[in-house]
This record gives sequence, structure tokens and C-alpha cells, in this order.
Amino acid sequence: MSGRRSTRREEPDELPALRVLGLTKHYGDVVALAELDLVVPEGEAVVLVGHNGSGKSTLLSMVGGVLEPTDGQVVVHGEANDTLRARALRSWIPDNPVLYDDLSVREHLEYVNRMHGGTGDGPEIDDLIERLGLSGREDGLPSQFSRGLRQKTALAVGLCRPFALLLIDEPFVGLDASGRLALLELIEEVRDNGATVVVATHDPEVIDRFDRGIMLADGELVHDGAATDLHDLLSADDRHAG
Amino acid sequence: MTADAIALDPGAGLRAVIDLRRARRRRRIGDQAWGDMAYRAYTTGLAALVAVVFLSGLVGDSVLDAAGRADLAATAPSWFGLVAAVILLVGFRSGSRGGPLAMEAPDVQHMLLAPVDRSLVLRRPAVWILAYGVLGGVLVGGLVGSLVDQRIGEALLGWIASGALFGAAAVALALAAAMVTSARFVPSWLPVGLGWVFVAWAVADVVGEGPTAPTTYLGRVALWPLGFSAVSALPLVAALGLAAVGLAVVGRVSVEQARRRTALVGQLRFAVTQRDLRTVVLRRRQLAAERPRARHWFPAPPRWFGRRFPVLARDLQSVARWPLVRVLRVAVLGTLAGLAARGVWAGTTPLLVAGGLAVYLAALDATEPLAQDIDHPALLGSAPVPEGLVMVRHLAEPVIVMLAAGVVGVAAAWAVEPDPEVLRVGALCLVPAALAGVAGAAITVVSDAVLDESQEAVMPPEVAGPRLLFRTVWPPLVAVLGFLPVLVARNAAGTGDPVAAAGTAAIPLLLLVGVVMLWVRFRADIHASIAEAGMGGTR
Repeated sequence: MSGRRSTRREEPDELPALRVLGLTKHYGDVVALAELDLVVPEGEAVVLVGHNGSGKSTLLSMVGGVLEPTDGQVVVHGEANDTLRARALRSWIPDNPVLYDDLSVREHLEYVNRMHGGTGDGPEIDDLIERLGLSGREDGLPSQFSRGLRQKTALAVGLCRPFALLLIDEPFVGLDASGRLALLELIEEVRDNGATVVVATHDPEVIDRFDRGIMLADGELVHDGAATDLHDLLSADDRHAG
Repeated sequence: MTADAIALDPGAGLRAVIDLRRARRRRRIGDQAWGDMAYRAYTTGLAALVAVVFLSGLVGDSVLDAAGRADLAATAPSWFGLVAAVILLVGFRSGSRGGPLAMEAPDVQHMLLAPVDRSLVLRRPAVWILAYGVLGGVLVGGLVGSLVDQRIGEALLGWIASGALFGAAAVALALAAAMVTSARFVPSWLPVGLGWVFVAWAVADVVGEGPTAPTTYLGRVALWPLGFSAVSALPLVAALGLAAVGLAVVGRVSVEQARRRTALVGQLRFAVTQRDLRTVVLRRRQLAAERPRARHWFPAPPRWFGRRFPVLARDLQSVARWPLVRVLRVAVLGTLAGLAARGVWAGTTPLLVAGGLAVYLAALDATEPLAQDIDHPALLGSAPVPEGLVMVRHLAEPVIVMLAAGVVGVAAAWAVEPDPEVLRVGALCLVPAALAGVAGAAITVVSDAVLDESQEAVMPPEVAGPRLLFRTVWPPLVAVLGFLPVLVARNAAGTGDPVAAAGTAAIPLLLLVGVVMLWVRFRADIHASIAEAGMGGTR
């Protein structure tokens, strides 16, 4: 469907993983995100597309809790966005890796996991390191890594802790083929385990992996429907831009 | 994982935060270059000693008589109060921009987004910043106290203690005000407005108008050896109380502002260490969220004008998009410069420096289009005329802006005491002052940052030090020189025609401005010739 507002309906007893109500972000006179309403049910995998400046990162950053809405609100599993519970439920991985210069990969995973109530070690963390191709580099400093390896470290940091809502901004940028495949598998896995996933990307090749596709343009919602429909929209949009 | 399966354990999260900080601290101490630190401490101590000796020389050591003491007791508290009010305003402004804390980006990302009480995460760094700030206030206040004792005598320890107490309280108040402001109980413009009210009240108190300003009571603390009053202890209690409130609410900081601040403050600090004033100006504007307006203040120049004078037309469009705060800043700086000139005319010669600095700062804003072109050398290089010519053409707009700011300044000077002579002298003096301000700002903008000067690294310290000092001091000094005609006019006022005298004094200044323009025009050619000669010599 096309239109500015989502028409999806939730079951009365079902608490959506994410509910966005009248969410708006202005920078002075510039509208980064026009009033947006959105409901994402638990367990859904959503892909968010749109050109540069369309508002994808703004939306994810507001849901991720690092940008304050000019208006509107974000509710995560029934919790207001800035409560301790919402922070425990939500994992936001920004497009630019944010890592300590003086901590190793393993130390990053240990401390972040512990901040979210984990033990800081265990087979899940070893498995994550291996699957993202960071084996042998776990004691290295990400500040000395390439862009791709830093991206993998940031993904590992975002995935090493418990979460029910995963938000990832441009995760495939800088990843090699194996890293990309591993990430897609991990996304599928967390979703199978019951988590909700929202991924912003420019990559049309991964769209089919998601249930639902949302397209933004100039801060407005222009499509909310099946992810596969996005192919036609993106091609038409590219032709129009060309 | 489903939401129901996720348990909340803030206690464990806080322990992880503490362990993480401890691990990083241990690593930092281990990696510390202790030799470098000792050298830095040595040079800082040396600089502090030189400053103390210099200030002692300025203060002099003749002991005040009874009348002098009475005068000091009557007037000094309001001046100290004004200093406290300005420090408090800085605190309010810092808080409105997410300060005083400037966390590291990963701390914002991983700690502030973790399910841990932010007050507990931020309280420790907040206590540290408060402790460091108060220590700085104690040292500076104590130093001022010892200087006051030079002129009063008899109670060195008492003066040092009261000065230190005043410094500590002023800084604590400012930092606590910043913490409370950053907690966003009210819109940020409100505390900043309150800060300006305190400053205006303190200024009114200094000139003897209106009731006693609250900050003047704090100022009396610095003069306790001349007479103790219990009322003046109240600001100390307020400082303690506000600090306690600030520490209690520090967790309410905006994550968005903390995130923006973390990147900008890091770059700002680096730019300051490199004496890269352009980057400092840019980052400060970003920190204050200064953005160009979407709507123009005035219409774009006509097309024929744009074709004939493309650089000036582009620059005027830039001015047309200035944010309101920049317009107000330039107007306020123009007013300050005018008032400073009026002060010089009335006999307070040192205000020459204040006026020159105000004009220099305003001109830094006015030269923004030139700075933007220099920030994008590829764009500048793509012009079908020499780069230097484009740069000189960029100076037309700041001259217009600074002349306008000068008119505001002259109006302010005239408003203090309407006198036709002030208008005649002011109208003449604003031209060299505006031009010298633009020249000083142009030198700053066109000069490279120290970081970019590769030859700086291979220079002997005896050459690099004075060169660096010259590069730092010369641009504002040019702007200060622009105020000399006011001084000359004042000296001629009793014996001859002040306007003619100011006009004569302006001639060498206009020549200096001309030399600066030529330097801007041919700087690149001169550097290329020197580089070519250097390469020829090594072949």
C-alpha cells in the first residue's frame, strides 16, 4: 500500500514490539521526519529503505533513544522509550561503529553483555565472534582494525546482549561477502528466537529476506507493505532520479 | 529473544560500568608517558610563575591608605560580583548545550543506553569535574587574594583564603547551574536568559545603578578581611545547595545533546591545542546549534549585480541567511566596541584592547564566506581567476558588515552621553577600526592551522616559539591598532581638532590594511616562489 500512515492493525491483546505515534523530527526549519505512525508486531522483520536524507537513520536513532523527537512518542513493548526496561529490550546498532579505542573486541563484548545483565562470557559470545569472522582478533583493538572489521565488532557488540527489538542502521556497508551472509543468518536466527528486527539499508539484494518493507522519502512514509514490493518502487524511483 | 524472557538487573549493569571504567583507568595509567607529564607540569608551573610575577608587577606594591581601602571596600565587591555573574552565565550556557560533562562517544552509546540509572553512571564524572573546577577556582582566587594583599597588607593568609573561597564558590555555582540546566526542567533559553539578567544586574551595580546585585554579595566574600558580613555567606550556602541539586539531577541529561557534544568538544579541544581558530569557531557554532536561516533577511542582489560582482553577491546571500543569534552577536560586539571607544575617549586607555578584540571577534563572523572557500580549496582552485584575487574580493562583504556594526557602536557611544563631537570623531574612527578588524580576521582565516605547517615540526624551538606567539597575537593586535585614532583624537581634543588628528592617525593604519590585502592577494604566489627556491637549492 502507499500512503503516509500505517494501516496495519494489531490484535487487541497483542502488545506490539514497537509503536510509533506521531513521531516528528525538525532541525530548525528542516523536517527530517514528518509525523509518522507505525506499529511493528513482535517477531516481525522489517526493512527500511529510502534515499539519503529520507529519514531512515533519524527514525532509527529516535527509536534507539539517541535522538529526541520534536513531537510524538516511541513505545517499545508497551514501555516508554527512555525507561530502563525499554533500554534493556532494545538494541540499536548505528551506521558508524562507536567503540572504545583501548578495549579489545572481547572486552567490549564482556562489558556490554554485563551491562545488560549477562555474565560477560560464555559459548554464545564465542560463537558470535566466530560467526562474524572475528576469531583470532578477539584480543585486538578495534581502533586498529579496518572499517569492515570495526563494523563486524560493532555488530557483535549490538548482538552480544539480550534484546527483543533489534535496530540496525546500514549494517552491510563495508562488510565482505562472508560477513554479509553471517549477518543475514544472525538476523534470521534472532527473529526465529522471537525478537523483532528493523534494518535500514540501501541494498536491494537483501530486501527479500524481510517480511515487511517500509519506504521513506523526504521524511515521509511512502510505502508500508510487503518487502518484495519495494523492488518495483526502488526501480521506479531510480528511473525517476536518473 | 522475546520481551518476557529479558530480565532487568540494573545493579549488575552498574557493576559492569564501574569495572569497565576501572579497567580503562588502569590501562591509561599504564600507558602514560610520565616523562611527558612531568615536562608538561614543569612548563605549566613555569608559565604560572611568570604570570604571577607579571600580575604582581601590574598591581604594584604601594600599600593603600585609609581612603583607598574605603574606596576598595565600596567598589570592589560589585566588580568581583560581575566576574561571578559572567562565570555563572558561562555555566548556564554550557548547561543549555548539554554540559558541563563531555563524555566519550562510546560511553554515550554503551553506558547511557544501557538499562542502568544514568544518575549513577554520571555522578562520578560530575563529582570529578566539580572537584577540578573548584580546585581551579581556589588556585586562581587564592592568587588574586595574594595580589590584593600586596596593596592592603597585614593579612596574607586571610586574603588568600577569602579569594580562594570566592573562586571556589563562583566556579561551583557555575558548574552546578550547568548541571541543573542540562537536566531540562525548563526550556534552555530560560536559564541562559537568567544568566544574562545576572550579568546585566551586576553591570548596573558596578555603575552604581539599581539595587545590590545578588552576585555582589558573593563578591564581598573576596573582601572578608576588610569586613565580614553574615549575609555574604548566603551565596556560599547557595553554591553548596545548587551543587547538591546538580549532582542529584545530572542523570536527566539529554542523550542527543551528550552525543552531539561528545564529538564537537573533542574536536574543539584538539583545535584549541593546534591554535586552529577557524575550527574552534566552526565547532563552537555547531555546539550552539547555529544554522543558516531558510528565509533570507533581505532579498538576493539583482542578476546584473551577481554577474558583475559574483563573489560579493554570493557573500551577501550568506549574510542574508545569518541566524538571528549571529546577527545579535555582531550587533552586541559592535556595541561593546563603541562603548569601549567611548571609554578610551573618556580617559580609560586600556579599553582600547577590549574594543579591538570585540571588533576582531565580530569580523571573524563577517569573514565566514572567505573561510568557507578556504575550507574547500578545490572549489577555490576551480575559479577561473587566481585564488588570491577571489580571497581579496571576499573581503568586500566583511567591510560592509563591519561598517554597519561600527555604526551601531557609534550610536551606542553617543547614547551614553549625547555629544556632537563623539559623533564626528566616531564617524571617522569607525572606518579604520572596521577595516583593521577585517584585516585581523582575514590574517587568521587565511593563515593555515599550526597542524598544517609541516616546517613547524623541524624548526628549532627558539624560532618556532616566537613564530607561534606572533601568529597567535598578530591578528587581534591588528584589530586593536585600528582603535589608535580614538586615542590620538582624545589627546588632541584639548589642543586642536580631534577629527583631523584621528584622520592623520588613520593614514598609516589604512596603509597597514592595504599591506594585509596585498598579502592575502599574493600569499599563495609568495609561498610557491619560496617553495620553488627551496627545491632549487636542494637540487
